[in-house]
Amino acid sequence: MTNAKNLETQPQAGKPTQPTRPVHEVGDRPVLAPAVDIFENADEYRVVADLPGVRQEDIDIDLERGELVVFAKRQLPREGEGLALGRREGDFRRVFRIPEDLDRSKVEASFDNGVLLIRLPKSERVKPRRVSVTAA
Amino acid sequence: MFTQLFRRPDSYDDLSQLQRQVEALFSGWTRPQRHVAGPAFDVFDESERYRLVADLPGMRAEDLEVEVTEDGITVRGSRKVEAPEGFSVHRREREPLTIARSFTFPSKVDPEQVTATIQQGVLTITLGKRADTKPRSITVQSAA
Repeated sequence: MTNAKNLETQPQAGKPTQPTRPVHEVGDRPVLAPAVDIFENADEYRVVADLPGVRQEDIDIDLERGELVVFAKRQLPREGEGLALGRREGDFRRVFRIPEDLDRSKVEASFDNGVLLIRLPKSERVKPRRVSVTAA
Repeated sequence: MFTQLFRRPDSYDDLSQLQRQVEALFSGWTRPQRHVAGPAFDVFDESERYRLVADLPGMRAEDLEVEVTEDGITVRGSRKVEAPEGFSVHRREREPLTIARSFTFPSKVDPEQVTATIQQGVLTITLGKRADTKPRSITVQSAA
């Protein structure tokens, strides 16, 4: 039940991608770690991430080698003279270590108002099963 | 009656008031304050108009209120973040978001020429500048 406690590995902000595990070409663009919530119940895990200003088609979700990698390209069109520039330039990226009890084929994601929701259902064999006692 | 008698001169009152203000300022300093600045935003001057862009993930049009005068705009809105029912929490970094801010601009804006849209959690407000405050170029003529 609690093996998602340390679900997340360190966000690799600014670090170059390792050549043995090329996840994305990050290049020179800054990488931002989005704020996330992680929830769990008997059936699934849920990862919720704030990705404001990202287009749905620019979100990549990869499940690979025990990791969930969320990458989202963000463009900040900047025209005219900037009177205030508080939004940080860069792409969103975050890496999570995922538990082994997932049904990887049933992972789903939706994107609504700049908030990404990833649902990671647990595989049937780890779900608690209720057995009803029948009278003989 | 006595209070009236022992009332200090006004200048001292002003001084103690100032002192209180300074103390209030510094007491806030030591307290850890997260997200004091509120949501991140950009403001651009695009010569004919101003453009304000704010990151408000999870906020919908109906959660937002925008008021405009020729001096500027006020934006109010909030989003809640709730754990889904029946779920245990492993990590909570997303915070309830509140924006309650007034923005002023270097020149007056035309309240009739303001549009506000929210898309993918980003609020964009464009504000047309008032015609009489736009710079006018004047041709210099030589006095022949």
